[in-house]
Amino acid sequence: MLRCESLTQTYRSGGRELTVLKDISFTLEPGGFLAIVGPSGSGKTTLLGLLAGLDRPAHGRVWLDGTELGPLDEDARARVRAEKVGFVFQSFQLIPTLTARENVEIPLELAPANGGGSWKGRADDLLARVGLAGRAHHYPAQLSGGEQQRVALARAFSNRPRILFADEPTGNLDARTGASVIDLMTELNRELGTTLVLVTHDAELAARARRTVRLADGVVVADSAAAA
Amino acid sequence: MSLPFVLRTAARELRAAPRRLLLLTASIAAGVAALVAIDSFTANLRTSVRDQAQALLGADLSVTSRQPLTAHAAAVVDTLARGGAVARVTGFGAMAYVPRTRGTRLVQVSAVEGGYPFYGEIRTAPAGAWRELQRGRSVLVEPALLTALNAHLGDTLALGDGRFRIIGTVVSVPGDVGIRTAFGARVWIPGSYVSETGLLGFGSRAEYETFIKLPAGVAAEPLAERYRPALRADRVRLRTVADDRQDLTDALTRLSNYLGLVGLTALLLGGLGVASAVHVLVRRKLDTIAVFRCLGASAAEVFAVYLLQAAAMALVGSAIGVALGVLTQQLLPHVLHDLLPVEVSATPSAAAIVEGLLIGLGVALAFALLPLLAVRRVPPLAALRRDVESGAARGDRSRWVAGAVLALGVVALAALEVGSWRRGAAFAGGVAVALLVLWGAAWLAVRLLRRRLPPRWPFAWRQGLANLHRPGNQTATVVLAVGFGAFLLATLLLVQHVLLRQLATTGGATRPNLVLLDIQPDQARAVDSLLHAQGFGAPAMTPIVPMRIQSVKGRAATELLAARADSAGPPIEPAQPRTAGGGTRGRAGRRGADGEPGNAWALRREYRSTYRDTLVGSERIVAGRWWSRRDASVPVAVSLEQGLASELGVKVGDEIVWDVQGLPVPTRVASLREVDWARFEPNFFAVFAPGALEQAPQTMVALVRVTDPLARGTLQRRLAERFANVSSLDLAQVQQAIERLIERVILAIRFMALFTLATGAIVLVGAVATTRDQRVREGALLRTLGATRGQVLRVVLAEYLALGLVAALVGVVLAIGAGWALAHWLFETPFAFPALPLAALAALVAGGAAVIGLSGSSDVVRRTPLEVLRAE
Repeated sequence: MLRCESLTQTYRSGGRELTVLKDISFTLEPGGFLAIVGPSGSGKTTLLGLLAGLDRPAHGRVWLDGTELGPLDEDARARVRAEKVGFVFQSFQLIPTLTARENVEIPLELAPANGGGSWKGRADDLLARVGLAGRAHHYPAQLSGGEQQRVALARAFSNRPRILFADEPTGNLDARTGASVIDLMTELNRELGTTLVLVTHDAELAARARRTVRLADGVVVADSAAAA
Repeated sequence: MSLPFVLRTAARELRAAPRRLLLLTASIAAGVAALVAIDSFTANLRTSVRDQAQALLGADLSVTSRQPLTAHAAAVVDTLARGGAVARVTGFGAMAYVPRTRGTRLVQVSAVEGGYPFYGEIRTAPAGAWRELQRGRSVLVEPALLTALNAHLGDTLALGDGRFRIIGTVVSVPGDVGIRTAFGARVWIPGSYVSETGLLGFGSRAEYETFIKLPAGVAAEPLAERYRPALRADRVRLRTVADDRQDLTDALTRLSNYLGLVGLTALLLGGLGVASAVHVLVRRKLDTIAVFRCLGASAAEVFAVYLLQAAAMALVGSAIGVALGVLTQQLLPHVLHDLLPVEVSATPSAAAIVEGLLIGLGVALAFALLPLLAVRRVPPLAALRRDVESGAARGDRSRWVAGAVLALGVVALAALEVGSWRRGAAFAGGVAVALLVLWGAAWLAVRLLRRRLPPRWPFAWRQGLANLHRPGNQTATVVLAVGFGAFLLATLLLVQHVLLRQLATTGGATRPNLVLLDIQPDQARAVDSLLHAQGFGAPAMTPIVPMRIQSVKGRAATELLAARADSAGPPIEPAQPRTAGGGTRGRAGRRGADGEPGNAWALRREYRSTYRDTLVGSERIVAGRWWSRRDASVPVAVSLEQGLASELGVKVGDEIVWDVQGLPVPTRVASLREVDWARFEPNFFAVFAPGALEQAPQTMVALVRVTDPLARGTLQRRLAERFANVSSLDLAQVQQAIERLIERVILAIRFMALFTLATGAIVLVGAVATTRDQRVREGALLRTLGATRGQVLRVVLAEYLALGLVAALVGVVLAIGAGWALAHWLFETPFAFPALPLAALAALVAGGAAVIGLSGSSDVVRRTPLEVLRAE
């Protein structure tokens, strides 16, 4: 489902070249649940960005559901995301000027397979599924953090993605709300067979994943799959 | 209130982010520039008129008459000029003919005698030719005439039977405006050779002007006061430098007033930009304000902090505006060229500069007040909890006060600009109505889009259109700013169209386009056969009988004239030949336009009347009855134009005695007619029943249609060769000249309207800029979720195209309303609108809005999604 090979990323900062990721390779099977862990600044989010095709690596290759991202231009990668990928962010990233339902509908509208409005009603189903049936017409500012993240979750699953990337999804939530969000996420992962890639520095959260990749200073220092 | 705290905090806040208030600064600058430019220009114009007024008249006094002076009037002139000097200029229309090139043109001849002008200078090329003029059979011409006749210096120019050598061209005459040449270029000959032309015969339209230079130390005004009544009875008009200056100042002030109003709309639109900028600023600063309040600042102190910031940035904007205005002012004399009879310097006026600074500051603060009031309602608790509701906006009396300050300020400003409270309020009301309609349209668009968005439309369009109604939208601001600019431009387009169309229908495809004037009765048959030989059929000949009013309802005209104690100057009767006897333009109802109250002009003027037994197309009976067949009763039946009748205070059945070449002809008003003077046809104030005037001395007018301009030229030449006294007026040329004038005026107004458009664009740019951060984040997010760059750009395009379209369409619809009103009430002409140019204008405005929106959104697709998401 997801494979990367010798991923290396460098940034220029103050005239010096800074290597943030070095020679990272692994393969994730469909339906898998991977947690990428590590301390702040270890390159977790950078790796997530490369895996999702949000950025280009300095070296190395990425395959997402059998499609190599490297040769694709930005718009082609965007189309791959629209079709196959879901996202959940630490700070929810809902569009503030759209209602909850409109936010959930965006991936549906963007995915070419969903043309013709056949998706009407799906957003409401998903909002009901995350327990927000009555708040479809509310704007993000009118929702609590937990509610916002649940809207983001509904949005992430709305286009029935093959793979879901989550970047510190509970980082801005209290423990109880965070746990309920993770419960929802794993439930949906089981129901829909979605592959899950979770970036976190929360050990408890990482423990729920079937596989853990630990990063430090841009290199993989531990991989539970390799250890097993 | 702690003033040091307020000052320090305001300065610190400004230092941190002056960028946030740049929109405020830019909004105010264009409007101030427009006002400073116009007001400085007006100040210079007044100075120029004051300094040059004496040169404009060319003498201390001028005495004008449509006939050679009577013995009595001549005696008065002699008395006036005792110890001074006298010069004479006789003006008349004639056909100029250059035998070498066979070129022919209708010209206005000025035959000069004596030392005219006593003041000012007529500049010629070669220099000094004006003095040479009196030394023989010489003629000076306007440069354009040489081109038109294909002639050059040294050629012989024929005027009637006279032959003159062209010795130079006249480069400038004090007080001359471009439009004066509409009815023919001007030529100057020595007065001593007028008789050789043989053109001042019976029925010719001439103006006899006597210029008087008073001895040093003699004031013109008291003399004029004393002799004016005596001359008035002789139908002679006396003008002084002061009269001229007053007329000119009035006319030019009116012109600059209206240009000033157009500039003012730019400033008001800038005010909207200020309000929008302050509104956004306050929204962004809510947290900061709450913290200030938490730390103990009073509501008034926080309010003062932000008011001070707004004032500082407004002052910067006004200063930039003043600088721009001074620069713009250099351009104005060029833009208004051809419309100005005086040379206007471009000296910045100190008063205008100070005024510009104050007005810019005032307008900015007046518009900033309403949104700034929100600052006072931010509760300290908001520092802890963002979702705390701020105090209720309703019932806040200060909002009403702020609203009243704003409304009063706008009215006062407009009143200042036009110099009248009533017109100032009318202007402010008009602007308010336009803005209300635009605002209503924006509100309606938002409502409609929220209710139902076409579900089948592509993603980008639905997203873009939905952005118009979402929280924090700028729909109202943009529609107001862009729509008002479109409204102004479209109105100008419509006015131009209505005015030019009126001219165009005048010269419609089947209408006569050549008028032959002054045909003597014994030439009628020969002219007719010449036209016939050239293949132009037999034109209808209309007889013209010159006459004056001798008495109205038994009271003599001289008695009525002398009875008016009023000393105002008599009407300006241009020397241009009229299309036909009756006169083409001067509407009878146009009282006061000539600065003379009452019916003096109607009593004094010379009438060119006709007699016939049928009505023509451009007139209809509104009272009484048209005569049937020959009505040889005494007194003779006469039909008056309705405006003239009311001017003279006569109705059907009243008696008027006309003086026809010294012979009294008593008449009875049989009917009143409404006349469409705009038609270039022989129209008449007075039409006589056949039977009374057939034997009176008269001339004939003939109308011909010659489609081909070349053939028209040839015909004019043939006529000039054979009938020296017959003038032919090419209506196409007259039409072109008037079109040029209208275009000139419209250009000047459009130039000022550019400032309004610029302000509209600035407000739009500001609206784009204030939502930019949010847009960039949204764009990044959409792309993360799988949108292509194209899709994101299309969302932006859809949003601004839709905004631009709503604004442009509402602006154009408003303009059609305004254009109709202007056509109906001001120009009194049928309204028509040019669909294509208006559509093009709307498309241009909408496209412009889309371009500005897109160009402000390049960041939305330039930055990678990851970069933006990380930067949060």
